[in-house]
Amino acid sequence: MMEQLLLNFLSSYQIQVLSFIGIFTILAISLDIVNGYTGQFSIGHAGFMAVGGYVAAYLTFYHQVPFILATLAGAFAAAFFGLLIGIPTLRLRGDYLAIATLGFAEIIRVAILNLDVVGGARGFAGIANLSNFDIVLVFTLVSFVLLFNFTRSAYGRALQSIREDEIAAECMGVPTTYFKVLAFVIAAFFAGIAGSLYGHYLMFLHPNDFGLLRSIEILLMIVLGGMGNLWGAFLGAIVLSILPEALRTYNGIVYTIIVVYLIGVVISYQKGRYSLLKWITGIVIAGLTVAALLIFGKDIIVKYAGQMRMIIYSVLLILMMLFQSSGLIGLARDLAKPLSRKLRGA
Amino acid sequence: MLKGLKKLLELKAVSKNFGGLRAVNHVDMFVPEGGLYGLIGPNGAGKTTIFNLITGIYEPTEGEIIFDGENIGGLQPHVISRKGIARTFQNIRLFKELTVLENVLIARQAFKGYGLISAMFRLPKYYREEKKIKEEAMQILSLLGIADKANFKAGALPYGEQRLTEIARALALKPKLILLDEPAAGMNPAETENLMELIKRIRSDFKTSVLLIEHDMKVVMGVCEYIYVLDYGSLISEGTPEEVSKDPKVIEAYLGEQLNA
Repeated sequence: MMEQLLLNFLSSYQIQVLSFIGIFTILAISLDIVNGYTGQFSIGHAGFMAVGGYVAAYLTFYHQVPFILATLAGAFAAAFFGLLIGIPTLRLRGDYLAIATLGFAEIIRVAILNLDVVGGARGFAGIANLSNFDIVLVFTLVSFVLLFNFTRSAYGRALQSIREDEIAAECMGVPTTYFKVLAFVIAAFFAGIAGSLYGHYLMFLHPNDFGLLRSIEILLMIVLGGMGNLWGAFLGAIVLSILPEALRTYNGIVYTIIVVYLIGVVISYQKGRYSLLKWITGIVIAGLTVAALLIFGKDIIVKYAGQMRMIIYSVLLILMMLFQSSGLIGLARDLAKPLSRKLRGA
Repeated sequence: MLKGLKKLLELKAVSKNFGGLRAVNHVDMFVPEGGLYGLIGPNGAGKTTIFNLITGIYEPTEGEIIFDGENIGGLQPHVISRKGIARTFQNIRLFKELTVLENVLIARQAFKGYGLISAMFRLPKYYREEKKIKEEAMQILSLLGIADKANFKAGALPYGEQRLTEIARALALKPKLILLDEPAAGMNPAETENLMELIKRIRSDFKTSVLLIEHDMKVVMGVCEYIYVLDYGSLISEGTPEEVSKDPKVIEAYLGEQLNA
């Protein structure tokens, strides 16, 4: 329905990008439950996505299981793996947990590479096209609402208390190990859903889609958007789904440079006192830089377009980490404050 | 005088070693139901270690910790806290990024009456129980006079109010025993006066027993009925404030520090 409606305004390519925003939103908000809310550092989210995707695809391919049931089965399988991995590894802290989750995701990937029944290294081809924009939209909305409610309940508060101070949380009656495992299992469940949507959308799965880079991509979304805030994760998913697509073309690169530059200007200026003059100066400087790039840099940009993508990615993230640790959502909030104060005439 | 009281918490020959260091050495002490007891001693005497042993952060090397007739030595902290022991920390450990209200609500976690499904789908039960625990939390905040700070980030409050928030959070567990670790530290004289009133009120309003670690002698001598004195991990004296303040061993342990009883 929505897809038909959108086709009037957007190309099917653009609708595909929107669909991926939805899938990555589910991945980002679920990872945010573990990394942002509970404060545990997991970088193996792609592993759970793979479990969900492959289990669901196996069921629809070999047993013609209805899509919804297959997706739920994939999600439960991923959640089961979450439990399996969570119980031993969540006793680890910080770097050690990160390495353990990373190792888990690699084990899953290598295991699938050697599983002939789902195509092994050739990839799993011929998956039915059971997922489309509408279905992704519904799953994304439902996932967002469920996880949002979850974070705003006693459960969410318990997770945040672990992030803030584990010992104090224990002393206030919060069974921290239980809640850490619960967070992990729930995150894995939704990653499994995303995996199924992904597989049935592309009609093809390959183990290498679920490598370290994919896990890091999801992690970057929540870091960029702002950890511990589902809206931030959503924002991060939007930006990092559109950005790589935008960076495919010369114009896209230029626009991206403008946006990144503006964000940089805003971040550096909001540290001091807010003033209109600073804003204007920033925009003028940004405009001049872009003009210079357009006049003198076109050849260079076109020649190195591939590398530009990674450079812009890195610069953006370094900027965020250094100056805006609360992410895009924090930036938006900080900007809204002085603006609304101005509007109220204070 | 001690014989007639019902023991709520009792430490029986409790010791704690850290490697070769004996931080707590054969300590015998108890807190009766409804008691307001103090634990004092110079820096490094092992007072906070005793709190950590009672609340399960450390496991005792030797001895038993009996609470309400049950040995709780070595149980996990969240199990012990649900049995009715709440505490505050010497160096405030609030959930800084959360609001004052949320801090208190977390302590009501154990009493939430809804499950994961109610939470995710916002079933009527969720609204009913959230409303109930929020009212209870606000009630505690009002009693401590910080209800107007309910929606402030805990980490943004001034020091004295952070201390009060910690006490509110501990009280939200509805404990039978509350352990206060230097609640007057960093408070100004006026705040300290209020705190002394508050500690007495905690016992009467919340019907809990109190065990207090405090450096401010004025507070300890002013509110406690009975005081244990610890030095180098061992009890060197115990008794009423008058008895303890006249004990030469205590005076020697504090060496020059004045006991203004």
